[in-house]
Amino acid sequence: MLQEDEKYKALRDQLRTLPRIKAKHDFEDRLMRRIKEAETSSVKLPVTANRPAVLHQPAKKSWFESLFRPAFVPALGLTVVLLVAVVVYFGYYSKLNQSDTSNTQQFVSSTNQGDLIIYVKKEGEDISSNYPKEYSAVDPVDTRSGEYAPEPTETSTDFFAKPDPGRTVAPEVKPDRVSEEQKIEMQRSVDLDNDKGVDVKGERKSEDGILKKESKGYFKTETKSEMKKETSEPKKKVTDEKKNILIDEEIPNIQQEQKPNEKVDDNLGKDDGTGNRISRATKKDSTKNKSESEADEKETIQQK
Amino acid sequence: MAPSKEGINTKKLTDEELIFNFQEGDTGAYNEIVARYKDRLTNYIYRYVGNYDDCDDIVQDTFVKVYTSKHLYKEIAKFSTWIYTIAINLAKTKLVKAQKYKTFSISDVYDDENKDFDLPDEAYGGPEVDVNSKFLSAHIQKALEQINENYRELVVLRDIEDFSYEEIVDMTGLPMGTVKSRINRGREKLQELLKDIYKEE
Repeated sequence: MLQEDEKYKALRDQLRTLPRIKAKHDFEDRLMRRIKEAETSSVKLPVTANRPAVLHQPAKKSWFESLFRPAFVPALGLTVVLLVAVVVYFGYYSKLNQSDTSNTQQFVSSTNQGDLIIYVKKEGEDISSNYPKEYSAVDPVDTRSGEYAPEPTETSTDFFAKPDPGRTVAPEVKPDRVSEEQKIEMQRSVDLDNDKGVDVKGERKSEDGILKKESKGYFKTETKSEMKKETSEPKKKVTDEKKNILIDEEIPNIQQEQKPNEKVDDNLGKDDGTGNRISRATKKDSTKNKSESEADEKETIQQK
Repeated sequence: MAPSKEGINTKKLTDEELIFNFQEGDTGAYNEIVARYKDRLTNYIYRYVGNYDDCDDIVQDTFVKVYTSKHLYKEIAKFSTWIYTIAINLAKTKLVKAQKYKTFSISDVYDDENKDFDLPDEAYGGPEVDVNSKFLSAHIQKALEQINENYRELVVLRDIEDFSYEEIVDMTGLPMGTVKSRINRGREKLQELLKDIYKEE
């Protein structure tokens, strides 16, 4: 310790020779003043702490004065304008709109068939007749059964689903585009086909040139080349009864199809119960085939 | 200073006896304490802070603190250690605030040769020295301000106020080794800064 002090002896001496700084002359007076201030502040604090704080209470204003303050003038003006607008709307324009809507209440709907039907509903009209009778089958007065299903109330969806057939607009009947000459030509072609023994009604021509022939309950496809072959080859002497009778697609049984001619004759021109009808060409074909078969038998006998 | 209530001459009493008397309500003892320590504290704080006005405020605050907190002193340490500890803490707080809100004067822009040194006015009882000694003390004060404040605090306590190492340890609360090393480092730095003075000598 002493060695270190001796090492810096010159520096220490220099520092010790520095002049001593003295306090100001009025140091004690200012100190006493500050001490007094500190004492008074410390004394005042508890007094102020114990004393209840007296807040500035503004004079009470009535609710009218507080409501109609200058700051609220724009807001009040805006609310008045809005009120007037609402009153005018409900007092005048709403009546006009009601009169417009009461005159015509149109409902536009489309049926499953694609026809656009416009329903016009009048006020006070009873549309309960549009609904099936099943709903009103049970008498509502009858209390014996608790399973009374009341008539459904009118809703927009029900109204659209079951349109009144009496009020439906009939679709326009378009004029026939086929001229009389074309009809005659078509009739000729049909007659020719009938002479050849081809069932015209059972054939459909698709867009790709393939003829579809209805036979035995399914479509039999034939290309044009096959058709040519058939036309070029001599006709087989097979009775056309099978071919002609097989119009009914829903009868797969062949034995049913090979019925005697008497029965077929009875069913000609009548509905077979399934909705399909046997064409009258079958009758002609059968008689022609009979005569041809008889002629062939005669020829064979002569040859023999 | 005015004698105490009991008519005992307070000048013969030690510092500890004075503070005990003051704790019992003897304001004369407090006046004697102020008379004994006002210049010592002013010198120490001035060397540490470097500004006379700040130094005066700090010393005033120190004595106000002694007045308001007289009951906190107990006969564990010397009174001088206690009052210097209060002064050091207040000075540190003042320095921290000054660094936080540091203001630059126009004189800082100029060279160091043109820089003015804040010396206490002689009208307020400053050092009555001639111009050379004034210049020398200003130069040393400038060197003190350039070293780290941790070193400066301990160097001033040891070499200017002439406190022992033990007393410095009590004041600062630092370990003895730290105190010694900081004092030596501070001296080294100070010696480097004051080389030109030693050459002249």
